[in-house]
Amino acid sequence: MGKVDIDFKSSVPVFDCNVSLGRVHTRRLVVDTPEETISAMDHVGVKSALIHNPYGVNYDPVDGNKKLIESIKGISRFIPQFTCNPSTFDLDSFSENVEINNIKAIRMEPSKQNFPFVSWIVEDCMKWIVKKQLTLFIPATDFNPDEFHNTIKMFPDSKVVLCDLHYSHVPWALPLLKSLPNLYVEISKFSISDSLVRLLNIVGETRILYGSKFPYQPMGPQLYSLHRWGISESTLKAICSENLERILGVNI
Amino acid sequence: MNIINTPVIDFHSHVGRMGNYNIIDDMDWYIKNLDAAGVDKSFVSYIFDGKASNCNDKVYDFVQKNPKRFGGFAHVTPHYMEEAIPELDRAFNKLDMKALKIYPPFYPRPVNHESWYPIFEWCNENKIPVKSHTQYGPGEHKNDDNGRPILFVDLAQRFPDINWILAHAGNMEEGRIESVKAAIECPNIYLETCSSYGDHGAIEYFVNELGDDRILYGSDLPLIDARFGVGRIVTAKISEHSKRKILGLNALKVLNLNEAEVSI
Repeated sequence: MGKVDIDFKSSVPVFDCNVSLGRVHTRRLVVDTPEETISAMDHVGVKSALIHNPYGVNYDPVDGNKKLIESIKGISRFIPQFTCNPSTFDLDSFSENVEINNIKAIRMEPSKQNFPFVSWIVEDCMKWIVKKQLTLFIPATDFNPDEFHNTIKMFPDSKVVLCDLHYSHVPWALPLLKSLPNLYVEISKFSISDSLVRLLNIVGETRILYGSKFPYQPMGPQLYSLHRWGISESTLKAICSENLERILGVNI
Repeated sequence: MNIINTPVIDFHSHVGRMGNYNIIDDMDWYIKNLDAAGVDKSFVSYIFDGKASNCNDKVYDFVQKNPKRFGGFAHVTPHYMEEAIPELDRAFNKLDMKALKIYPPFYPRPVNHESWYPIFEWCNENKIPVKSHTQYGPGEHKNDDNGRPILFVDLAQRFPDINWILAHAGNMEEGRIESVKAAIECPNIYLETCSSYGDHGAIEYFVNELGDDRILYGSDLPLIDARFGVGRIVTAKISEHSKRKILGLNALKVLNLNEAEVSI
């Protein structure tokens, strides 16, 4: 009866690759401070988190990235992720800020920033991302799949993470992952039945990253779920932290 | 490890193939998924055939293959009211269904419109629980407002012998607020937890605002893996006692079942 561990906490180190920190103007979030975020991480055993600022996503990346650096207060468990809009930004000054703040990951949300993810807009930025060996995160909700596919195909040496993948994206997203060997997948919203088996069959354990989409989702459910697939400890570690550590080049 | 020693009952799952998501309704697969999640029994429905009797036959056939692990929820539609009442009679008196599942967005009028009443009058008279899809919030979801949580206040007061279960508990923040408001106002309204939009703190919000007696775990299997929904309850910052109630003990009461009937 009820073979459920009611006091769950992760058994392996966890590096959450999809956490937002800061207020939004449209609603009151349950958690919007570093302290509350740390508390939520501790509750389920998340050691570190890749953090972006929602203002940078929804409005202005320059101001959002400033807010991000201010809000994480030098907390070493938070790894900052800058947002960028390649259609409007100044690449030189952005690049300088990336260097200064030792940024390893970039986030683009093309639909929210009102540009298409096409080569004639993102080419220079993609070349720079490849040159700097940065990792690019893009939500599955934020681009035209065909445009995305054609653009990423042009940059086979890039490291790109498809995040916010939902069951409604299955018909096009799984073929996309199969087609692009440099595309990784973040699983915060991918909870369809057999979700992990489907991904393991297509991309293998090295291209799957645990993320929560906190605070829009809790950190625990996907982490709990990962511990119930009967996968080996090495696979669990790879998905929960090691894959992200490897592609970012950081140790948590 | 602190293994729960009370039943885990899934109040929300579906049968039927879904080719658009590459899903097949294979019994062995369901069992493996429930076992992995630690779920004892799952209540399934089918709502995508225009002829309700086909829906209920499909559910019945599925449940009969393993009645220990599965129970059935019936479905009828006001589109064919002339068929609905006889089908309710068949579903509950011959097919052993345990509750009615309705989906207001499939119908062009609000769920509290009088055109629904004959169905609810029958359920009220026979004390049948009614579980309804609910969703309210931003985004384009056709006809979702026809199942807004707040509409169930009217229904719960008009049909007091029905226990109303708001599936997804409104799904989004606006919907969750309305669901809690409706449940506070009406003691015969329950909230069911499955959602792919569940913010951090949603389960805690339900428990803090409403208490833990009228919250029910649901998976939305196979659209959402059963493990994920259990994880939402297990990792919430609520008491162990509340977790046990939400994961199964509350469902026993709503469905008039005892532990022996659902334990494996």
